Amino acid sequence: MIMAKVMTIPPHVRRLAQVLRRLTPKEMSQLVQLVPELERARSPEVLEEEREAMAYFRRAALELTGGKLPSRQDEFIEGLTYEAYFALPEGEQDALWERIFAERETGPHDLEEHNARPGARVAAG
Amino acid sequence: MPGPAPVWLLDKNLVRKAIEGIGASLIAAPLTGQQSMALRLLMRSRRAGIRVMITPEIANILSHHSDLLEVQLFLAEVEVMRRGRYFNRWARRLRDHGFTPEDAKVLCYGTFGLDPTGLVLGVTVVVTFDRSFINNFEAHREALLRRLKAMTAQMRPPYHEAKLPEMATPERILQK
Repeated sequence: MIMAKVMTIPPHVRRLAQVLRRLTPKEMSQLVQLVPELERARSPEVLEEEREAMAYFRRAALELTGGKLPSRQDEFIEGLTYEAYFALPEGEQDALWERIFAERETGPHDLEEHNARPGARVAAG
Repeated sequence: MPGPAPVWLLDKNLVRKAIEGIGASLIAAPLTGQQSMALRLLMRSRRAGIRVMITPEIANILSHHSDLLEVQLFLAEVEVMRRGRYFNRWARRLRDHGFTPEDAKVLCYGTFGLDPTGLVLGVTVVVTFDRSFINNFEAHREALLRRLKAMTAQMRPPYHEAKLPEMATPERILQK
């Protein structure tokens, strides 16, 4: 039964599993630092929190739009549809956001210094 | 009188991942690890009564994209900081410690940024995925503390109590 289940896992994942089984606990912990998705994958609490967050933003979007969620073919960002954007290699997504974050930093929020109001306090430590 | 609520300041990559994560949520696509962390961080702050802020520079850039549903949803979750007095002076000192102008600015908001009401100075934690930024901060923390103390010694309240923020990755915050 277990063997049959294992055989349904793609060969490249099984090869990776063989490598991972050779790692020491310390190396495993370093791997999780590099790939936090590994930790997420094994925690039902994390998955539940993620589901809650996704549901929260879907509800908020429905309220904002009067009941319409975008489809994968709708435009997401910089003229790209959701489908096209999420299919981009990470490097191209990075480059797109670098262009966005290089845009002018002026706008409705001023960049002047302001005095704190009387009675102001330092943020909680 | 109760003290001010804790404040998290998000750096630009966290903002990006949150916007991407919101987009993925709307089309029911799976989240990457970083998108998941960004959204869970926002949820965690709501539950814990923690204020989440972004810099006015990032808010201005997002304002050029305010037609995006995801940007509107994201901005509804955060507040925009303002530069407090002494911001520019502290930024010049931070640059002496090898921080990029952009990182120095984020750290400056952490110490001499104001909340929108002008009643809270600085932030509790700067949250970033950038481990090299955190490492550079930790390496210079003692020297920065000394310089901040020297700079604020003669200042009036609340500036004489100005503090360095903590710095943390979302992973660390979410583990708490």
